[in-house]
Amino acid sequence: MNDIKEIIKGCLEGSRRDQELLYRRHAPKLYGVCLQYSDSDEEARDILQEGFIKIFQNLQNYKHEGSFEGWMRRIVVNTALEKYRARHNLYRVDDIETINEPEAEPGNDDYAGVQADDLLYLIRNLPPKYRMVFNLYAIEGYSHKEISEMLSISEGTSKSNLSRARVILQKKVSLYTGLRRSVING
Amino acid sequence: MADDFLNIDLVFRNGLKDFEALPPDSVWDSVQTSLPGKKERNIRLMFARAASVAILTASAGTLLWYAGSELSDGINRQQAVTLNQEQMPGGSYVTPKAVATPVINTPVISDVATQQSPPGEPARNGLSQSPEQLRTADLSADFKKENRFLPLALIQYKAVEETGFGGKEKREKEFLLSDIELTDQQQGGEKWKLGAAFLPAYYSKFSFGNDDAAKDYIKEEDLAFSYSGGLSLAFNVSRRLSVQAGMVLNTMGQKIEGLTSYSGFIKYTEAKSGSDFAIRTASGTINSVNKDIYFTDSRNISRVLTMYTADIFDPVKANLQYVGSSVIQNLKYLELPVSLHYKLIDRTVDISMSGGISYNILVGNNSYVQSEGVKYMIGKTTGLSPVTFSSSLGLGMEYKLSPSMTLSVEPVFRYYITPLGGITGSSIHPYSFGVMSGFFYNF
Repeated sequence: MNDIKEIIKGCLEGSRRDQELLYRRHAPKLYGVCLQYSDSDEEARDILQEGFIKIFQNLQNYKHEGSFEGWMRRIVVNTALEKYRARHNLYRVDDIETINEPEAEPGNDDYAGVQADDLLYLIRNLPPKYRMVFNLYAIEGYSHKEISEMLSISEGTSKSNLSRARVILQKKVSLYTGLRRSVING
Repeated sequence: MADDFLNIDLVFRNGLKDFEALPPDSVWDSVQTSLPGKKERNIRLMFARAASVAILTASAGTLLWYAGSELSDGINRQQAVTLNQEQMPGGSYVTPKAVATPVINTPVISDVATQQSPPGEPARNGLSQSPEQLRTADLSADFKKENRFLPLALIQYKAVEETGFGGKEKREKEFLLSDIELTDQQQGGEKWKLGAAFLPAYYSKFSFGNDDAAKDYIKEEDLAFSYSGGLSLAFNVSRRLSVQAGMVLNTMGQKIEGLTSYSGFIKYTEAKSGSDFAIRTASGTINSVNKDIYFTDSRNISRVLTMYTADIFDPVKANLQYVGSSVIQNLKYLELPVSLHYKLIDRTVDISMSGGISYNILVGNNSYVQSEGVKYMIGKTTGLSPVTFSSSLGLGMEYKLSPSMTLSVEPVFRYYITPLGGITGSSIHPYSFGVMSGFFYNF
């Protein structure tokens, strides 16, 4: 297995083979991230393309400290956020609304068996502003303060969007698992 | 409530943690065509490396040249003696000088929380359908139809305490670099290359020394194409450097002008053995063993050594049949080349520089005159070195036709470090320009 440092070195020297090697090795996982942040496959492809171009252009700034995959993932997520901001800045009025945290229906903690592609489908069909906040908070682990800065929204809006996203997802997943269980139990 | 939220977060976090999907090939195509800024660096790097390889090759060539000079001198001395004493016919020479020679859309599911089908009505969306329909018809139909997703990791539940959910500080753990083993193709890990190559080349030669006769002979010897073909085996020492060796059969020759030949001489010859005619060339002397062919010089350069000079024998009066005005000299060498190849540009089309030497063994040697498609063999060229050394310098391009097959095209300059042969007092070093093309199997 080629050492990642050697591959990065080759990329920095302009080796097209190393660039392709880096792409082939990490594109599937990063494309998965792109799909989480996009409305369509086309948009996901655009994010991946722009993301990789930025990765190659900024490779010299990677100091081999911390996870390289984490470094690339942050670039791809930031690219997705730029695209989101470019497409949704006209709807900023929604971002400043403060909504009381909605009540979720009784929870169902048995979600076993939900496939990753179904989870992706559910998350991609969330309204964009809910999807972005949910992804950044629940998947990436950012705080509401960081998310508010990233999306230029208030922390309250971030929390509100997260709650709405959670409620929607929880209902969908509960319904999904409930239907699945009823079929299994006859 | 809080636990439920945490739970749903975990469902997605863990469920999508290892999610992968194959992007279309077109993405990489777009990425690689949008990588400016690297070219300048590449060009500088390319020239620096090219200069290094050129200097090393030139240095090695010079050392070998000096070594080759001593070797050829020894061969020259030995061959000169052989020709003078054993292969020339008796009688007087026309020329007084000594003879000799050398050298790569999902369906919109409505919000189930707000859309539910009234009792008795057919289901209108995926989530009101049976789980099986839900899965196969709506939720993942497109994804599966396009077969774009890689095998997915199953969602595994763990207690909140176990997973340590909730902190940005844990983010790095999820982004650990995976140790994905690459396929041979991704690694470009083929170590060996076996191929067949063909090299047509155009020859000329350098003449060192002050022998005016050699210079005159070269003027009247037409440059000739040579053809060589053979097998080669290469070992990739590293991604950029490879060592290549092979076995090549090289056929080279020249057309010697200024000679008129006639047939029907056999009835006039008095010699029962040996040679009546010797033809001097820049690379050696052809001793004719064809008793039926008469040769005479037709230009001011004296090449023919014979006792049947024009003042003694007139081929026209003797009613001999005209054959031609030139002699073809063919030489075949079994070459054992060893070369170093360094990739200057490592892309879809690789560009590499090569330098090497070759040990050449003389395996074929004949000369003939030709008339209306009929060849009259006349004999061998004497005074040729049985072994020669040549150096080569090439700038090649390699294109991958498939993961295991490569097309290679490489302009090559070759220079014979030791002479093929030649006239005593001069040293004839052939050089050639050719384009080697071949197919290589990578394994």
